[in-house]
Amino acid sequence: MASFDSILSDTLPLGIRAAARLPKGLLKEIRHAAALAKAFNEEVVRPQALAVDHRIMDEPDFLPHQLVREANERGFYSLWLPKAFGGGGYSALSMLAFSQELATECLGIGNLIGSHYVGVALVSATFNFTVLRRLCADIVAGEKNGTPCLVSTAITEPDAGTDMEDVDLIDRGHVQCRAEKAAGGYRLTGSKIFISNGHLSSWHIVTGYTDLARPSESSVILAVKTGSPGFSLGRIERKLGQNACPASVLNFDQCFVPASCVCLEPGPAVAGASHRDLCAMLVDDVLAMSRPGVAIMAAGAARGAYREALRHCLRPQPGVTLLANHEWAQSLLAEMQKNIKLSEYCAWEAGLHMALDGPFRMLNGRFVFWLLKLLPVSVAKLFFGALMAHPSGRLNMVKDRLKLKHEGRDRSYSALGSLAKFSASDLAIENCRIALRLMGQSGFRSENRVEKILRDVKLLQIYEGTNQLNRLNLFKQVIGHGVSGVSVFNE
Amino acid sequence: MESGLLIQLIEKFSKRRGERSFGEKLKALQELGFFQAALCEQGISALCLVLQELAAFDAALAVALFSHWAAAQALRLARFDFNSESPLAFPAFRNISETQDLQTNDRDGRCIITGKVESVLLTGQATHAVIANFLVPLTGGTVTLSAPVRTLGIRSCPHVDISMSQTSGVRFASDELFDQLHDRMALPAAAIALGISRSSLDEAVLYAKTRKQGGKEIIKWSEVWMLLSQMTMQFRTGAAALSRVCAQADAGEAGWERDAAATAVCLQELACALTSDGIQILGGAGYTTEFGQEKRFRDAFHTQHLLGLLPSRKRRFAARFI
Ligand SMILES: Cc1cc2nc3c(=O)[nH]c(=O)nc-3n(C[C@H](O)[C@H](O)[C@H](O)COP(=O)(O)OP(=O)(O)OC[C@H]3O[C@@H](n4cnc5c(N)ncnc54)[C@H](O)[C@@H]3O)c2cc1C
Repeated sequence: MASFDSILSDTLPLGIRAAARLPKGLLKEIRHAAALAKAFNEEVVRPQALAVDHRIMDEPDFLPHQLVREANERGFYSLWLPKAFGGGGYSALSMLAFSQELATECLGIGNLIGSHYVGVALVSATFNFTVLRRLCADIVAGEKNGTPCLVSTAITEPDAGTDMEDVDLIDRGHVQCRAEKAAGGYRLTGSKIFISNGHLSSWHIVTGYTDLARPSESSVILAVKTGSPGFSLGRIERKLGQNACPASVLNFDQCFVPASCVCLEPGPAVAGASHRDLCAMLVDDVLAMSRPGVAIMAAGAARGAYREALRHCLRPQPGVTLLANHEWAQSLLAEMQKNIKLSEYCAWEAGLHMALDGPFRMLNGRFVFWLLKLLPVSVAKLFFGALMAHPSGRLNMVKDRLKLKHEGRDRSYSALGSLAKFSASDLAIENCRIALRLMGQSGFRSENRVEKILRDVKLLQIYEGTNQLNRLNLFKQVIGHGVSGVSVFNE
Repeated sequence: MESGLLIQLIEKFSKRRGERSFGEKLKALQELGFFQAALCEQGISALCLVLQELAAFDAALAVALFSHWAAAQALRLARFDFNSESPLAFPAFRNISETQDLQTNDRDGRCIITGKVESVLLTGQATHAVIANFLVPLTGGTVTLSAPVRTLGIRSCPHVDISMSQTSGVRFASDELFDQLHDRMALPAAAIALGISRSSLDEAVLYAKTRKQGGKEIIKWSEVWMLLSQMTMQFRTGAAALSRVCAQADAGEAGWERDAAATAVCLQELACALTSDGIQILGGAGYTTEFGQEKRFRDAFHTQHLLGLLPSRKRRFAARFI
């Protein structure tokens, strides 16, 4: 299989390879997802985004429950769950189209939905389909009874942020979330910070460690339900932007998590892979899944900034030449288009790489895709649900995942995810900068939206690993990999 | 007031800075005499030092003072005798010469003005505004002030839209004023950008020395110190340029206006990049309000528009100096 290097030197983009391999119906699904987001934007997001942003500036503890309910009513919290577990069975690629469209109007509202799927992805990447089935059941039920059930991802700790993003760093860091084995489960003690949607979620996928001195070998991934004894929500961060999506502190004080909610725990090697190896693959996979998502949201936000800037440039003003008729402004608008297109290309490349070569690639194969599309939900649930939840299902998935590792494909999609993430978020900032320069004082007025886009976009350079860390990941995964005498994080 | 005294005062003011609200701080500045019209006669270096110091502490205060000084300076340059007890309102983010959205009619030594001017900085209890080369009373039925608009930065200093309907004002200067005022205020605008950059850099260095990741202070990771070095070098270069051009301006050296205009644009652009990196060094903490980096970022992007649209200023620069 191609390494990242050969993808770079191969002038054939993944998009072209993909065209031959992906089922045609996927394109229809992608377009449909974009159309859903467009309608949501027109009916809900655009009319409410500024008001919600302002409200939260004035009342920082306000939670946008109404927006969550609207998204829930439209089925957005289950559309991308496996059909076998009652979800819509939509593919991760169509999620990219959906996120991109939403991000043109509001990144914060986009993350009310997007962050939920990072939690789902984390559980999926453990291949623990029993827990996944349970979460999905709650989410689907929440949609039916009008009580949204969101999932958050809780990894970052007060003293460990970047250290959590790379298994080579975590043992040198200062992690504090202890998971102690107890009869029938684990007891969790510690805090998590900056957890997107923490205050809005019913389930939290939390990383804990049985040995705080050796976290890489002792990671436990637990699904904690809001309301569990010993679990409490702390403050909501006051932050620069993405106000619609709260960033929460989660506190655990001897919080008991039953065995049925343990997604992954230390144990003997599986198919020859140690627990540390499994965790390293898991972290890489989740980030490789979420980073193209960040990149595509950046592309969407870059487009949003462009739209507002163009609107401004086309607005006639008495006694002066239309801004859009100045050569310098035309050139800047062209530059903005370039930034959008480059971001879109690299985000889609990374997304396609994950879809074609990632751990869930079989879902994008023609046969499985059509089978799942055509099977009634009840049959899919019965047949695939049972198959996936069976212990041998997990073992086969782990074996398949190890194959990707041996072939070096995982380094390749991880690197491309990082590349897309840092490139697109930097380009989105650049578009906001240009938009503000074109708009002058109109740009800094909230009603004209660009200042909000700038505030929102800045976060994309920070989460899912800072852009600096992502550059290092690109180096680690492909540039420096296997080069004698070269190592990363060892200076 | 002598420039040495001015700097002493600002130091004194800064020491008591944590104690008060924005309004109280503004009042304190007023009581200390910073809003006196005569201050504009100070050398540019002194004004820049004051503004840099204030901006490093809170850019909104610096901008409030800047806009009053700009308005007072306009009147002074025109030798127009007007002594206001209270601060003057001024559209500091508009191209100084912009009048195309105003309808004016000179009559009996007064000027009747109709039109709307957006985002005027309303500092304290302003009773008059200087808009281009017009002095406009803000009291009386012909002027309407909007509620403060929501803005990216400089949030504690109210920005209002002023609508004038047949308002009787005074045209206090000819259009020649614009270049002069622009020259005079370019370096103070640069000083604000530099002050914001400085405090963002200071915060970043402090944080990088104490925050640990990967088992050591993050400043020990070469990616972090490289970024900090770059930020520091950019800041030092900016500071050197500002002080050099201030000295040139105070000495009335030929060409100082050109260098002032160039320094202002460069430092304003630099502040945007530097404060963005300033957040980045703090990671997630930089994105929250806890360390003030997010405010500096907003203020830098906001104050890049002091004296008007950057591309227009570049165009003006080309027309005048190239
Ligand atoms: C609004 C918001 C929402 C978030 N949502 C979530 C969420 O839902 N779930 C979750 O788990 N986390 C979440 N995060 C956390 C986010 O992933 C972290 O902020 C990010 O990983 C950076 O960690 P940190 O903030 O601790 O910065 P630090 O790790 O302290 O980094 C500070 C600086 O040091 C640099 N640095 C650190 N280590 C190294 C190194 N080894 N080499 C070179 N440079 C280094 C970084 O690049 C950065 O510039 C969120 C954060 C924010 C702000």
